[in-house]
Amino acid sequence: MKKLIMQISALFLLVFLTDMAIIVISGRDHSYFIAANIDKQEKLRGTSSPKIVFVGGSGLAFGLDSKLVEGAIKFPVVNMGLHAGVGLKYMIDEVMPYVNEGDVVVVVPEYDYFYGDIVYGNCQLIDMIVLYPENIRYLSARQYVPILRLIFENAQARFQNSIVKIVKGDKNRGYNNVYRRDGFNDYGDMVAHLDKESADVASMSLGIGGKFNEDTIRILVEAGNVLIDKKARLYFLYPAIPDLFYRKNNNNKSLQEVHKNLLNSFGVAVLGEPGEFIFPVEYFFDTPYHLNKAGRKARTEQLIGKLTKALETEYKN
Amino acid sequence: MLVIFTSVEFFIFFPVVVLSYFWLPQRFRWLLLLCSSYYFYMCWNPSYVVLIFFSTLVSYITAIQMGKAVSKQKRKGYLIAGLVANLSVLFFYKYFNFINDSVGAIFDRFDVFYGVSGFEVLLPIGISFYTFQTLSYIIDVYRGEKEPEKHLGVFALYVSFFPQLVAGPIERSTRLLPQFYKKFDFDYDRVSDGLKLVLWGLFKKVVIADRLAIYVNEVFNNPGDYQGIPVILACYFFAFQIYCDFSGYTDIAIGSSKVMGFDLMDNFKRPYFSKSISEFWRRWHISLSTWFRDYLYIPLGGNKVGRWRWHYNILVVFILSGLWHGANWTFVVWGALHGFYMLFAVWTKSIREKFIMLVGLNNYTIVHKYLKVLITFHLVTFAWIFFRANSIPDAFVIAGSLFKVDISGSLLVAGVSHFGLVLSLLLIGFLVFIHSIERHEDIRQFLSKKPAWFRYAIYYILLMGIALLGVFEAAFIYFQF
Repeated sequence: MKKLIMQISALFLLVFLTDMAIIVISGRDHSYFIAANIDKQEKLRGTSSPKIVFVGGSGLAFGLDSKLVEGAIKFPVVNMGLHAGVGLKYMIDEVMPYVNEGDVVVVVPEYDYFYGDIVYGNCQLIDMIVLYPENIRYLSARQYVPILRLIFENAQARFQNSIVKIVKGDKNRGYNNVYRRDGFNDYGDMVAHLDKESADVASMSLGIGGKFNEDTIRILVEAGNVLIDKKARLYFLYPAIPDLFYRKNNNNKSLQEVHKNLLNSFGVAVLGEPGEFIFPVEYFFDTPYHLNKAGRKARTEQLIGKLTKALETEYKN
Repeated sequence: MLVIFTSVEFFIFFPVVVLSYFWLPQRFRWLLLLCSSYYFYMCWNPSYVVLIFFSTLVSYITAIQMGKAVSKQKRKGYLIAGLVANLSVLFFYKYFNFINDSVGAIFDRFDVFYGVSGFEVLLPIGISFYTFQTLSYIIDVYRGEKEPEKHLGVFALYVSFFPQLVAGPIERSTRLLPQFYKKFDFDYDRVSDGLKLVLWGLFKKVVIADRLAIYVNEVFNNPGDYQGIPVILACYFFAFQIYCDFSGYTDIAIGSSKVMGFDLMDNFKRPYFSKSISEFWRRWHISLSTWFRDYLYIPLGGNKVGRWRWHYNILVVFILSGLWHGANWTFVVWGALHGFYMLFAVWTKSIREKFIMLVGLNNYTIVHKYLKVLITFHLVTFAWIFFRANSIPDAFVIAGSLFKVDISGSLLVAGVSHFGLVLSLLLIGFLVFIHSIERHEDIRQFLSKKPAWFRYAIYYILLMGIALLGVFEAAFIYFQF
């Protein structure tokens, strides 16, 4: 039996080492989209308080005009939006050390966080850590639990991308080559897509539902409480999705469940309802979360309205 | 925490059970396996154990009473009671709402009020499998082929044995029950052979089946959105998906059992190499098809009756076999289609033989053989449309879309990249290649003759295949039955 256990262990170890080798050999591509994290962190550290910090995934990166927000609200703005796959927990923990008295944190997470378990991060979190190992300090103990699984997922993604790269002969920079570090502006907004043609988002799918993840609410409430202690504020804003998908597949029922759970939680100021943040599908660029130029403008104006009202109410109180 | 075969939880659960199994003295092993099996089942839903225990207890008591009964009348009475009790549970949880809704639809059609409402019940996983297993036991005892099992714990283990609990094979009591009394020591060759089967089953499931499922699900869940070649591809892909999904599960079940020393029956014998529909059913889901043969077809008279009664028997068996798979008219139609294929083969036998002679195909045995394999495969693949479709109208939309071919159209569907499509095709090619080798020799026996470095390279490649190409989100198809 010992012989068999040794042989099996050796095989599994070899598989694990191969996966690690794939991650190491495929390298740290500092020109890739996720590498912009370091620029955003630098911006965050270098922006004086009071400031507005937007936290979210790529939906936020694609769909916010920070300059417009800054001009309207008169607070410096930092857009930390990057990739939903790094996980909401990481995104919030990453900004907390740099939030000070008077700051406003606006969380705009994708709906995926409320169903499934990507709130603690997907294989993109491994991409982030491989690129910037120092970001390990922002990981909580809970995030170390699935790390083995994430390493395997990451190695798988890299392996498959490498095959595509070899066959196609170019770097996979996503639809219309926009997923690049230099696609972001100084505020942290993704701008490389603004003058590109949109994909046929109407033909895509967006399923929101399944087992509700209570951890997401807990993470938001905990963040809200920490910010109260810091004399800062936390607002929650729903992401923009196409009207077409809002009505499909019982998505609107799932979104109402999200809204109900948020309203029932203490310490999370929710600005609006999910139904207010639906836009025509023509406003989307290449996924049901990524707004194009027209969508970005409409969404930013809506956000400015919501935030202005919330801040005015806050000051009155 | 679901303990399904492709989960991390199973890869913790299984070694713990196996190590404990070999460590424990023989007299306690049944208890370990029984507790493990009930734990395994409760991970799906704790309330499920009430039903499986009810089925176990009823079948146990029925058999014991049949053993004690002197008169044939009494034995028959107990048999009927046991069958009714088990089938009632199956009927209520699986078929009541379906039949109720269907009757309601008929009443609606004629504008007649129908006030019987359905129940909100969760279909207990594996109920079709373990119910059929208990039914076969009761019938075997009645027929005198099996002595009633006196040990309730061992009998409960026979009903709930975790490797085959949720999706078979449906084991006969005469085959499996005696094995629980045997002592199996750790045997390197047997255990490693079992693990090889588990590895191959995992590969078929997460690398092949779940990869193909991405394409299949997009087409079948959106009938009418695709036509022509993508629909044709989806049908072919589903044929291989369901085979790899189900046979993959079976391999893991058989392999896991083998590790502990238990020998479960083969459930698949390269079914897509069948030369006729009747041969297909001797090679596909063998435990179910033999169950229907032994407990329904033969008692109905089989082919030992008049011609039309024989045809009726075939149709009934296949329709019920379809219904066993699920409470939906799509499964009934699928089963009926296979029944029709069998009957058509019977009706046209002499015409086909004459045609073969006429065109001289009898002189080209290999060509003739491959033609039969190809035709059978396509008949089966066409029937799978009804098995997979979400409804009868959807099935007809998909079947109709097969013929609207647009050469210039894309092969891709939403959610599937070029990489995914090419990989799917390569994986099917790989599977066919492996099965071609298995025409001459079982692949594990083939490997066992090779040098150690070769064998370990293959295991490593399979594991890397699972790690780098596996899709880990989908459940096993046959779990829903």
